[in-house]
Amino acid sequence: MDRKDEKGTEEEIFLSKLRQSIDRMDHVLDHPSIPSKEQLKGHIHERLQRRRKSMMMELLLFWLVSLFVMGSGALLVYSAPWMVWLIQGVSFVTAFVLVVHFIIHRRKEDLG
Amino acid sequence: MEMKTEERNKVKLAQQGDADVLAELIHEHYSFLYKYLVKVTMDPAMAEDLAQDTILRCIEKISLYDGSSSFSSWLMTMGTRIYIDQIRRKKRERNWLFKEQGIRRIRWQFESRNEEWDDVLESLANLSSEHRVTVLLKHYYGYTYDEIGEMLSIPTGTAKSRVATGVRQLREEMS
Repeated sequence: MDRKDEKGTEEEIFLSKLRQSIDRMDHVLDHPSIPSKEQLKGHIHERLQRRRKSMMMELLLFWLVSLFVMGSGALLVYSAPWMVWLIQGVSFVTAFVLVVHFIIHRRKEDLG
Repeated sequence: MEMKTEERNKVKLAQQGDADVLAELIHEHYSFLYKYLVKVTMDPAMAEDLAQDTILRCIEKISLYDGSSSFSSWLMTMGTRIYIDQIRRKKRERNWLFKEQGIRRIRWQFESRNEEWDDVLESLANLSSEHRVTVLLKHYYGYTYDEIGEMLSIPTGTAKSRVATGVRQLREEMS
């Protein structure tokens, strides 16, 4: 048996000792107080109900914000249409400049 | 670690909102999860808290479980990640005193049953938590390095080196 095999065998012996000790620990340790199925069911129902409520709340908030944004938009269209065109134009130009900037930046990086 | 057909069916029902089946699944795996967390934390009280946190997360995330690993592996992954998060957040609190208290609790249980607390367990308890988790997952639970990497969100190479360092430190402390 060469040195490498010997080292491997030593490690295997050590690891099996480790596994035995851990197994023993498993047996020695007190069993946990496992919650009953009824308790767990109660927890699950409570959690699900809470999640459902928070989802409803989120949906409600989403609709409220959407209504507000759409209402403001409609109001703007009818009362000050030039402002709508201004916002649209500025957004488009900004987006275009950003896209061009990123393309140039990436090309420079590729060349560098 | 693949999932059995029966377990797969139960998971599917649980994902569809069957609270009875989910409760049954959790009940079946609770003891296994707790025992794993005791080995990882070396503290029965902390393991119990972590097991409860893991169960709560399981209830919330059951719909996201994709079944690529067994249900117990999924619980272990969540439990380990919660533990790692807690260690990071409470780094200053989790000092040597807390560690000592946990080990003392286990040793007391050994003594009360006239069992010997051997050198191997002592060195395992003295190992840093990140090394202990990887050694346990590899050499006690039999996961591959890839699986360990996935469970702990670390590269496979890191998992491998942590296991090797952990085993080396254990052996050094024993000799």
